[in-house]
Amino acid sequence: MTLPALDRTPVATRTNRVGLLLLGLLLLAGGVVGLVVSFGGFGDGRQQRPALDPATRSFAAENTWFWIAVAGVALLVAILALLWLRAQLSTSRLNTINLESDRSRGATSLEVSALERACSGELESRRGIGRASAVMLGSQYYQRLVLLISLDGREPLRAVDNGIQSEVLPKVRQALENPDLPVRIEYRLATHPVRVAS
Amino acid sequence: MTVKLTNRVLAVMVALALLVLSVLVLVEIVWILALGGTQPVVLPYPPVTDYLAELTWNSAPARAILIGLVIVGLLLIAAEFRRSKPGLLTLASSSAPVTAGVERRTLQKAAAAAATDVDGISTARARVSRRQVNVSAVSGLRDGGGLQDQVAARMQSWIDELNLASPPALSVKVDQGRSR
Repeated sequence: MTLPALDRTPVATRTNRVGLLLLGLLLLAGGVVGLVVSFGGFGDGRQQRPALDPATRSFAAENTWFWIAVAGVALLVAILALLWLRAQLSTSRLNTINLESDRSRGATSLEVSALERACSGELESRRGIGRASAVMLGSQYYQRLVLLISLDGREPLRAVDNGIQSEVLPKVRQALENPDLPVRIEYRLATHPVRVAS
Repeated sequence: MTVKLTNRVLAVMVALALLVLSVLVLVEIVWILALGGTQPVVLPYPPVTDYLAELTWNSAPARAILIGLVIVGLLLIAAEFRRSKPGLLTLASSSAPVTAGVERRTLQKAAAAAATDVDGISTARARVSRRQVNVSAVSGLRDGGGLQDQVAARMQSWIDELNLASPPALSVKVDQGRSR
């Protein structure tokens, strides 16, 4: 069983994938249709004509609406390109979480960076962990905590994992008042384990 | 460079190119239709249209361009459907709503380090995939009888200690009589 690498910008990843796939399909379709024309698939007369034939040029020159339509398409493409660029800046990282769902009872919010700092501090104080960071992803309605933990080799992975799952996660869930908070833990093993004398 | 990063760089370049080109086209159209311009203002398009007016579909340059489009299109499609290497190998302790895993790249380095724990092994390399851990170790000993078994036993216990949900199969190769 495997997990894909953590994606903190899922919207950008999906948009890029769809955009580049569409571009690839467009280029492939254009190339194939052009090659069919080039090899006489639409008749011998067509393959000997220029890519931009005089009839097309005069049609474009005589019809103003054609250029208005081209301008409309160009505007649409510009808007889509801007949205595509804006998607690159999107992130699913949270800044605050509303702890009070009932507005009539006031507003209580939690600054996520404080929780992330407390969480990474707690993790780094544990034996076997060299460095740790915590990131809260999602939205106001669905949160997911991601823990990135680099082991220092002084404790086996299994012991570190047991400690985190049984001691650290219950505290975080209690702080967030969310006993079912989804958590993803990513371990980075020590590449030069420290040898401990037994 | 990961697939995601390559996609991001490519996406930014394509989006910027589309944005610039479409704005230039808009400027040219507004310049000519609304402002009565007769010559291009920012986009020098006449050489391009003149070239296309002479380029016949069955000419070699036209075919080269079209084949280029097909190749680039196929490469883009293939890149988007390519299956990326797993980022993490899941631990057996994972159970909803907790998912825990070990990063594959550090697993490779740690596996190589674990193999060198065996006396007689000077260097080792490891490759980890979804289903297999391949360890290639080098020993400087000329007579390293049983070294392969020792490395295999060490690595198997190392893999077992990790407590992976689906422990990968182990393959060990020890190159004896030389050192790197």
